[in-house]
Parts: sequence; C-alpha cells; structure tokens
Amino acid sequence: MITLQQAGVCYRLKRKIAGRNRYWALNDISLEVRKGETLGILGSNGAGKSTLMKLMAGIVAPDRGAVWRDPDEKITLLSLGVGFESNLTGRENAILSGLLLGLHRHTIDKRLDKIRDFAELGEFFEQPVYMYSSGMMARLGFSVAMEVHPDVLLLDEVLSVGDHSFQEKSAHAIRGLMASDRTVVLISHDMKTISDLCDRAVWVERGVTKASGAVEEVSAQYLA
Amino acid sequence: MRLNWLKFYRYSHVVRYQAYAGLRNEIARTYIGVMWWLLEPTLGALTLYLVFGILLNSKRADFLPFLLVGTFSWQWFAGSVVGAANSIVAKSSLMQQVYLPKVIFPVVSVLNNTWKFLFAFSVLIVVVSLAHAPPTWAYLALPAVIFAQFLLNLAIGVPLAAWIPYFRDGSTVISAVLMLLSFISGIFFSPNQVPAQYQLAMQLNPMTILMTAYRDIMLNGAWPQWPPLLAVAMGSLLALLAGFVLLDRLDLSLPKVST
Repeated sequence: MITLQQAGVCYRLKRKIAGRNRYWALNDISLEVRKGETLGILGSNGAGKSTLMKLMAGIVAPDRGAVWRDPDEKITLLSLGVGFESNLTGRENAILSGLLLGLHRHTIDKRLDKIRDFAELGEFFEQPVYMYSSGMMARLGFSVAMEVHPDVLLLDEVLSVGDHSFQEKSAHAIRGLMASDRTVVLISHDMKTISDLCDRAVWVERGVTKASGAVEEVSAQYLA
Repeated sequence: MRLNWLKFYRYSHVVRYQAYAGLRNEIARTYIGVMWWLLEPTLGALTLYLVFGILLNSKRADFLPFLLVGTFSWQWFAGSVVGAANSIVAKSSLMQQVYLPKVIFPVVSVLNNTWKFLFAFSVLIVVVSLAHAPPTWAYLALPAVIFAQFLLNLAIGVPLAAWIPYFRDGSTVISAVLMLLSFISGIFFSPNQVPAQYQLAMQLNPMTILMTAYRDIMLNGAWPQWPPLLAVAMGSLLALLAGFVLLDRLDLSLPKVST
C-alpha cells in the first residue's frame, strides 16, 4: 500500500540550527505498509514520527529516497478538528472538517445527525464552537473523524479524547475502525498501545529506521 | 508540466465551503457584518472626496461617483491581492494536517473578496443609476469588465501566494507597492489629466484600464474600449496559468517551509 525506500525529508528553517538552515527531520526511512495490517511506529519525542506520517499521507514530498503510495487507495491522516472556524456552528464545522478529510458533501449531509449524536452535543450542535468547552470541541472533532473511512488510516496518537465515559466510547470506536481488515498505521511512544493493537512495528529514532518486524522483537530492541 | 485539472475539480466543494466559511466567520466577527463590505470602500471614497473634492476643489461635476467607482474596484483588487498573498501562510497549520492543492487558498481568498465586491458594487450601481446617470445598453459590457478584473486579481494573487511563504517580508513590500499603485492608477484622477509624456505609462496599467472601463459604462453611458480590456484579460489568463503551474510544482514543498 505504501513503500518508503531510504526516504528523507528536509525542512527549510528561518533560524539556523548548528550553522545550517536545513534540518533533516527524516534521514533514512525504509518501511512497507501491507494491506490489512496494523503497523505500529515507535519512537521517542522528536524522532520524526509526525513527519513520517505527513510523508505517508502525501502532505510532503521526500527530499531524497523514494516513496510509493498506492494511487488507487485513499490514504488519510486522521486529525481532529481540522479547519475548525470558531465563529461557525458545530454543524458547519462538521461539514467543513469532513470535506477537508476527503468526505463527499452528500455523505456528510447524511451523517450529520450521527455525528451530532455521537459527539453528545445536542442543542449545542447549532451553536458557534467558540461557546464549546475543550471537551466538546474534541468530541466534535473525533465524531467527524470517525465518519472518514479511508483504505489506509494513519493515526497519530488520537486514541481517546474527552471525559472518562467518552474516552471509553472513543477508544471503542477506534478499535472498531482498526478491527476490520482496514490497513492502519499507528504512531505511539507507548509500548503497550503498540503491542496491544499492532501486528508489526517499526522503530524510528533521529529520522532513521532502527528496527522493523514482529512487535515483540522490535519492542525488545526498543526497550533494550 | 501536466496540470491535473480533475484534481482541482474534485476539490471544488472544498473551495466553495471554505469561501462560505470564511465569509460567515468574517460577518460573525463584527456587529454590522455585511454592511462593512459597503461601508469600507464608501468611507475610502469619502476620504478622497474630502481631500480632493473639497479641500483641493476638484472641478469635476461627477467627482463623487467617479471616486466611488474607482475606490470600489480598487479595494476589490487590493483586498484580493493582500488576502491571496498571505493565504497560504495564514493556513499553514491546516496545510500540515491534510493534503490540499495549495492553489485553493489564494482562489478562496479572491472569491471571498469577489462576493464582498459584488454585494457593494450592486448597491453602487443602483445609487449611481438613480442619482447620476440612468443605465444604458453599455451596462451589458459590465460583466465582461468585472470578469477581466477577476482574472487580474487571481493573476496577481496566485503567484504572490507562492512567494510569501519563502519570503514573509514580502507582505510589507506588497503593501508599499499597493500604496504607490493606489496613487498612480487613477482612483481620483483620469489619465487625460496627467502630462502627455506620462499618459502612455498610465494606459499600460491594467487597473487604470479597468477603472476607465467601469467609468465609461457607468458615468458616461458609453461602451468601454475593448482592445485594452482584452489585453488585460489575456495577459491575466497567462499569468494565472503560470501561477497555477508554479503552485502545483511547490505543492508538496510548501508544507515544509511555512512552519
């Protein structure tokens, strides 16, 4: 579905780091995402995990190496609250966000009631989102994201949001998304999340793939 | 370089809803919302009227409608150029989260300014036809002039949108250039009032051509000069196409710059 061969991504900087105004967030990444699997990406903060997701999502191009993305598959990086405008209502933001995540307008219109109910917003759905609590905002963003059913789902630590009861509900919904034969790539620095959910894992450090393979092997190396 | 037009078509819903959301957001931010679209250019015209009409005692009989027509079209141009130029930088966080063809951002910005202009301009047409000169058949040419300016706004805005992420200071440069252009494009004087040796240069300014065309139609009831209008439209179309190709090339590089 996605193949990376020695891929690197370089950011142009305004202020120099170590005398250079180029920063290689990814240096040498090689990995393969296979159909139907759940692949975990492990790595500490600043390892390049999020840039890797952008690369796989087709948001940025590699500056060296090669990236192949199956052109027939819809590959989506799931972000919560994409494009939210504070003066628009929950309903309008759901439409806006859904469109940006690649849903068709008529699909969104059909699922708006479902989104409102899942987010437990009730009357607030018709109110501008600047009135929302941060929890309500997160619930709305999550509910929209759950209506996006891509072929390859890229998840950057968005497993649960909101208060305790919504956290359970959202974790359940995410697992539902992953349990089908959908292809999923999941980023986490939490070993347990990866070992619970993933078939295979890749360990990334300083923009380089340190190890890849079965979850137990990779986690053993990661923890060593 | 092959442009993927189908891709742009696929995103037309996104463009339309983004434009709607932008306008809604803007209306909600102020108390009188939509009225500002009319009031802002009107206040600009009244300022010029105070300075040049009253203090400097301009002798034009139709000076106020002359200023209004010029100011309305100028503010559409300036608003579109500034908005489009900064549009990619303004949406840089969105660009990090989802893939969108970057040309969407300046196009949405120009569309927003176009709706505002069309609203204000329709009111102006009514006012001018009631208070100054009733409409003639020449009004049929008005959509063509408006369309030519729409192309011009895009033609300037789209390439600038590609430039600003690489050179943020460019916004200040753009403001300064627009300030200069606002004085020399003939918002408050017509080309035949300047010394003969500068007239040719003025006739080459696309905004002067457009303002002259609006005034020919609305103030004099005359058909506009077609050849210069056609030149503006064709030149804009070419520049716009170049802007599209440029942004398409930078499509996956821009998210790595604007952080």
